[in-house]
Amino acid sequence: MNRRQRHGTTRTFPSFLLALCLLSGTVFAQLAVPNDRPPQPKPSAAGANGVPLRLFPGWTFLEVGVRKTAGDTGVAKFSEYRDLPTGFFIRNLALHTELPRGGAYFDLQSRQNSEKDLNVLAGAGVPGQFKVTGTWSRLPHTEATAGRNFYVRSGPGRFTLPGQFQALQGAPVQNLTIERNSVGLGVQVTPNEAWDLRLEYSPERRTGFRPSGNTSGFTVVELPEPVQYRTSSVKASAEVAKPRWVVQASSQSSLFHNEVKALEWSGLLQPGVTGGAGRRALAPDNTAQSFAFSGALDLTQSARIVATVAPGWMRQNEAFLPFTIDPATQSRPGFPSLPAASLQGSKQTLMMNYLLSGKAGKQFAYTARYRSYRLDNETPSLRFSSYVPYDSSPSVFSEASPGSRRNLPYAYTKQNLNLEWMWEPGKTSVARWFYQWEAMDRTYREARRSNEHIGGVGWDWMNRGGWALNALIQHSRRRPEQYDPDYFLASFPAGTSAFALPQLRGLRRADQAARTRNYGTVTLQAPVTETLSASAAYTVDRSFFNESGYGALHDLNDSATGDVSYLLAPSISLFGDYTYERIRYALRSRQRLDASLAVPAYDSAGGDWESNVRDAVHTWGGGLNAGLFRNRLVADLHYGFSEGESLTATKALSRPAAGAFAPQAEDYPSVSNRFQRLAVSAKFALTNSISYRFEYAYERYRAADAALEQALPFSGLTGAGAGDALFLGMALPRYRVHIWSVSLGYVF
Amino acid sequence: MRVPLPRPAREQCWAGWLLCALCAAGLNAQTPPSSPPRGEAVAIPPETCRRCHQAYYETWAVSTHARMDGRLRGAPAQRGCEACHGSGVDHVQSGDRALISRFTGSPAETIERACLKCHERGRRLYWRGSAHESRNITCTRCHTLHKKAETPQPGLRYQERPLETRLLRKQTSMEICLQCHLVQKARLQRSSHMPLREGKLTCVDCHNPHGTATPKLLTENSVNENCYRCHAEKRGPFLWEHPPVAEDCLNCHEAHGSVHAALLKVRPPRLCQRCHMRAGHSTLPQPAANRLIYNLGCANCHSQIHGSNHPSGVRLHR
Repeated sequence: MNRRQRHGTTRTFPSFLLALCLLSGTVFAQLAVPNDRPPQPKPSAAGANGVPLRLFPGWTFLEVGVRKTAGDTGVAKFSEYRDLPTGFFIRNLALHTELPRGGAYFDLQSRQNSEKDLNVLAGAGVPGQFKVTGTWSRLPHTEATAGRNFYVRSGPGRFTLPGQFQALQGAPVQNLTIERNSVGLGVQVTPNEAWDLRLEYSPERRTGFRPSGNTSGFTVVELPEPVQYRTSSVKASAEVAKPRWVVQASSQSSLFHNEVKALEWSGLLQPGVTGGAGRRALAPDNTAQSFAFSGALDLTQSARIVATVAPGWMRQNEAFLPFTIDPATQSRPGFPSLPAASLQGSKQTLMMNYLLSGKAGKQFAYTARYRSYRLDNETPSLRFSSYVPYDSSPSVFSEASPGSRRNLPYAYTKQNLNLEWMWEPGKTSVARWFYQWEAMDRTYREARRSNEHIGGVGWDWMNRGGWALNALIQHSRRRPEQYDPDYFLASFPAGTSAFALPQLRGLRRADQAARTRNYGTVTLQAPVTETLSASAAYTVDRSFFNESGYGALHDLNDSATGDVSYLLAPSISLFGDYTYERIRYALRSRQRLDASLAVPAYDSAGGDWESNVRDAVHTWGGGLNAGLFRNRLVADLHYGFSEGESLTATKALSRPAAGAFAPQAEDYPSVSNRFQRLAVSAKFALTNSISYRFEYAYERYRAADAALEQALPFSGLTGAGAGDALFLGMALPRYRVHIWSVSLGYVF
Repeated sequence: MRVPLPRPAREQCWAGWLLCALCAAGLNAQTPPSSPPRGEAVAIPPETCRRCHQAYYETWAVSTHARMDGRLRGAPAQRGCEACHGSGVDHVQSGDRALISRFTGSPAETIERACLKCHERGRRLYWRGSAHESRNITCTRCHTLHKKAETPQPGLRYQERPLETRLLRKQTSMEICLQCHLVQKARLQRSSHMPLREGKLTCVDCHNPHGTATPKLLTENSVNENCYRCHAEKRGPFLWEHPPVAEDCLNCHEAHGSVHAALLKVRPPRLCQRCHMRAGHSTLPQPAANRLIYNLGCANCHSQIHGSNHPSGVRLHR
């Protein structure tokens, strides 16, 4: 069986399975429903008080059709998260039927029924008593379809370069796609009106390759990293709900298994260039469990308290790989031994949340919330007295040449207190004041503790006509109580290298730095007339890292958006929207060279440089919906356009002294991408049961990114020293595609 | 229009006795007065309402509420239309519109009370005090009980995988969310995005709009735990960890969409250089034509940026 035949077989399998489900469901329906199914509601025993129930004719339908595509359908970006094969397809399938007595039902829905792109949801049960749910989902993630891999795969995660790179003429195409295939099974039982019990099991398998960089010293080799993951999740929950109180308990377990433990490669890129072999650890197996206990109690008619306590665990104990793959290095006298066979990594989490909400009088309401999330890291801190930095490195770091390192079990606790007071002067508006406090306590980080105080006011107004105005402004200040830039020295029990420079004193890392943040947003929703409605919003979010001499200086984000819809006729509506977003980041750094790179070491203000990144994104959309000929013909049209551009400007802040190293600051070529999609759909109802649908879509995508273009056509030897980098060469995502489809829908 | 009232059913009387017993036991001493004060012992069957409200009746009769009618909790005297609209005795007798609960234009509290009577449990445990509730966004802003019965079909703008819920005002749940969250709507159209516009994920996969114990209405206990649901390989614990990664994925990623690859907020190397400036290559501004800029940038070598379990992976490169 050739590839095409095999491909076709697997492609039809889901469709076959769905058709089987439809057939079985139809048989089920035939058993359950009299043949002379009238349009009138049919009495059912489901209504215990004599309420007649109608079977669900509108929920059972099948839509099959034929699709044709033209253009650059082989481009990875086009099929990034989808699969649109040409030919026959089952687009939508829905089946819903009920037994006339007892109310038992069977429900089936599916979409995108192709080989790699499938979503199925099935359920059966008796309303209010029990429910069994099943899901099946497939999701592709394609990163590249035109990459070239010069290495030959000799086993799971093993790649060998066959001979000299220069002698190679071309290389096989490497498809870099990961496919997720997951199923789920859930059971819900409601033994009585108070109890609710649920159990879910959902295994998922991920297979494929993704690009990943590897290094053996100064040689960079990008290889297809094998993805052979299995993840299994089990959830169980129980709930008791009474009119005044609710108690919930749940548990969740997740097991992750990676079938390939390491990525290995061998073969010299060029004679004389180091880095002929290497090994990298891939994601280790891990497990996670958590419990959650929640309760809610109505204290008074309006006051309610809700609490959740959720402990959890994350563990990992994968066996360590050896220091190096190189047998020559391993046989050297004094080769270090591992301090442990595995990490025995363990983290404990504890989330607590308490919420009190209620009313004080007719016009005032309040909310008070305290939340704590603690991550205790009980992973042992292992001391590696010496280690091999690179597989090909002939040297072994030892205590004498400060290579001794130990891992730091990073941990943190985050606490939040939110107080909100609302005043409703009338039925149409709400004014609010709020105060929030956030405290972070960290272990093994620069800012051991930081506090952020946030205050703000808001106003929400809505009249009976639907006009609404929402405004909110808030101001916050975050201050680290102490900032220790040398915390990382704890990782060097024998001290750092004599060449090493101390940490730059003025550096404040963005996630811990002192910050002043101003945020404001205003939204207006305006049903101007009965036929015209519009909405607009403006948001400004500005963070200034005032005390940072180096590092991030500010993050500024502004966005303006609006949309409008107009009812041209009772069954024809037009709509459009536009969004502009501008993001600006600034950072300041200093070019520093330690004594191993420059004698004497270079660390002066002459090496300071600053970079500003500016992103601007425009997004347009518009279209119409029309129902003509008494809605027998339903036409839709939509056009969407999104264009983003990123500019990175860099400049040296001062002229360095003569003979000093000057920062080679230069602007980067802009990164841009543009996506357009025009889609037209016309659905004509021939009868009440049969309808035809015609769809056409035109998609165009282009992107410009010098960083990727330099690595083309599909591989390259780049850098100052030729032959020190080899990339897979992911082609730039750029395509134009036309998609036509004609489908027939039948409502049972 | 006056309609003759039905006689109370026996089961409704039993329910009344049960209710009295519960009250006597003090369990329901402070239950909100969601039950109508008048006509409690007499129920108006939906067939009675149908005589005047045929269209509403038809949409209700095929809804989940009709299928659940009489099966779950709620005062047995209130079933059918009365379960939400309250006692209809006076309204039926007089025809006065003011004597029945009508939700159009009603205060948010009135609407919520009708829904929460049965639904303040499960995923709605944290509704009161949530971001939406405190802004007077009521249940009926997103849901409708009187909707033509049909399975939602994906539209031109937003595909969506099948969901169990059927009582949304729009065809897809994303359309519901994005009618207010306009910036998020725009971000989904960006080059680097999660598969929301393809319909593989929806907003409710990460957020619970009914309120949670977590900020931003996240479904899990933290941002990272939310991400680990799909990216379990990044969960660790790792021997060598990257602290900002272990603390918050959003330190580097923009979840709703970015113009940069891998949902990064800033393109490498500038993203990394916001923090790393001790010495050497990470402190250099780096010319554009450089292997440290090409392709994956810093991750060309430091590919284990989410954590490494290799004994020599301290620099997150092995």
